[in-house]
Amino acid sequence: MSVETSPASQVIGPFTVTDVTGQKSQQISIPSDTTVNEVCKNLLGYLNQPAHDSDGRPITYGVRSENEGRFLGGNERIGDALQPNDTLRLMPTVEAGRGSRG
Amino acid sequence: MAATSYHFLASLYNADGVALERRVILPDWTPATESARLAALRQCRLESPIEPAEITPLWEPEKGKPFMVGARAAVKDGDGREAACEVDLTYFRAQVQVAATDLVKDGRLKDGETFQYSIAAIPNPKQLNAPQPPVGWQIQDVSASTIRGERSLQSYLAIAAEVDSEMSAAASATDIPVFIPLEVLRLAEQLKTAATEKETGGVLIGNLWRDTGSTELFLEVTALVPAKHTLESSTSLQFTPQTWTAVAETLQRRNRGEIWCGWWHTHPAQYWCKCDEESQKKCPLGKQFFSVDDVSVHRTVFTKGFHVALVTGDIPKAEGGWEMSHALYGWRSGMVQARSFHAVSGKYEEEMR
Repeated sequence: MSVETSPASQVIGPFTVTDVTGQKSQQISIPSDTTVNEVCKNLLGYLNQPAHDSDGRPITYGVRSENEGRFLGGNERIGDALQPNDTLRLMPTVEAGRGSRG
Repeated sequence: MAATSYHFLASLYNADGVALERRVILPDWTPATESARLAALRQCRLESPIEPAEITPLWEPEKGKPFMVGARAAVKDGDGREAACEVDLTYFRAQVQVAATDLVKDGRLKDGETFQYSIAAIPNPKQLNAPQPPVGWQIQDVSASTIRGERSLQSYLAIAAEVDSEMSAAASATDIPVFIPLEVLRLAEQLKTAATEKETGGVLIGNLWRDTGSTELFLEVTALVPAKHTLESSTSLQFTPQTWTAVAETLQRRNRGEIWCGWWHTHPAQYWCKCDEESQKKCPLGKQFFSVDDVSVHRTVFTKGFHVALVTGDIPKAEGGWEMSHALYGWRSGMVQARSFHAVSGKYEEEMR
């Protein structure tokens, strides 16, 4: 794994963050000590992704680095885990079901 | 993202009109704004509307402000061209349902009791702007166009047969045409049969085309990618991050420039039904439907106005037993609704490639 260490306050990037389909993309430059969880939390709205399902339960998102080819841990710092120009894809766990009929 | 200078209040009443609850709601405006964006692409070729979309109330004609009959989501481009999506009060049902559930917990409404609701909009200029990025962050939308190019819609219609959904009625006429090859439908049936009593699913991939010589768009499904790494039961199907990764890798391997068009899953109703042979024919489970959970999947993953969901379910036969049927659902006026599609014969590949 390539590792880049950056001063905590340094802004690094750009990174591209996309929804599952890759059809909604945001380019970001952010402080290097930003965690993966913080990226996910702050980008959901920009990617039209809900934070909660229809019952109000939080939706879990996996964040996958395209360059690294792996899912990132929520507490990993972007400056430690990624090289600029990487693409992060936000991937939710969702459940279809008979449930209540719409 | 959407901006509005109003906040929204839901009022709930019992069947006798007695007020039960009034609360601020935070509607999810993404489906309405994405429907407006699709309208923009279809009507006036607005490829890059300015963010954010603007939400305005539609006032109730007799009672007037602050009571609403719906809302309007509008997108504009730099030249002032506008496209919009209007939604009715059904759009707010999910938020109202949460309030009703709380009333049931409090004992102020009985479980299953009928209630009514109204939605009001109160001016709130401070709420105008969409969320701002955190300090030190730069965020820029770099979404690419999803339109592949131009093709003749007529040439697709010439080799396709329309499959109507009994629930879609005339409203489907306003939807963008969707073409699904028969071989995709047959694969769906084979996968459903193989999964027996369990639900199964996948992702529909293909292309979004602009009709040659007009502004109309149409969706061409080219393949069904069976979902891997799912958790299935007879009444549920969980898609995981590993599911989506496998689909993305399949798209990369195919390298045909296809995009995610929607998703597919099954309703193995013959295994849900506990009716005897005679009442089985009228079993309420033996009808096509799109559950609240299904809507939640569609809202979370398939947010674009052109995204569709194919359901392969069991329908009781008049002479007894079950047969498979396909139903398509998609976004219309910010809601997921049954719609028609065009089934394309095997000549599809040769004639269109």
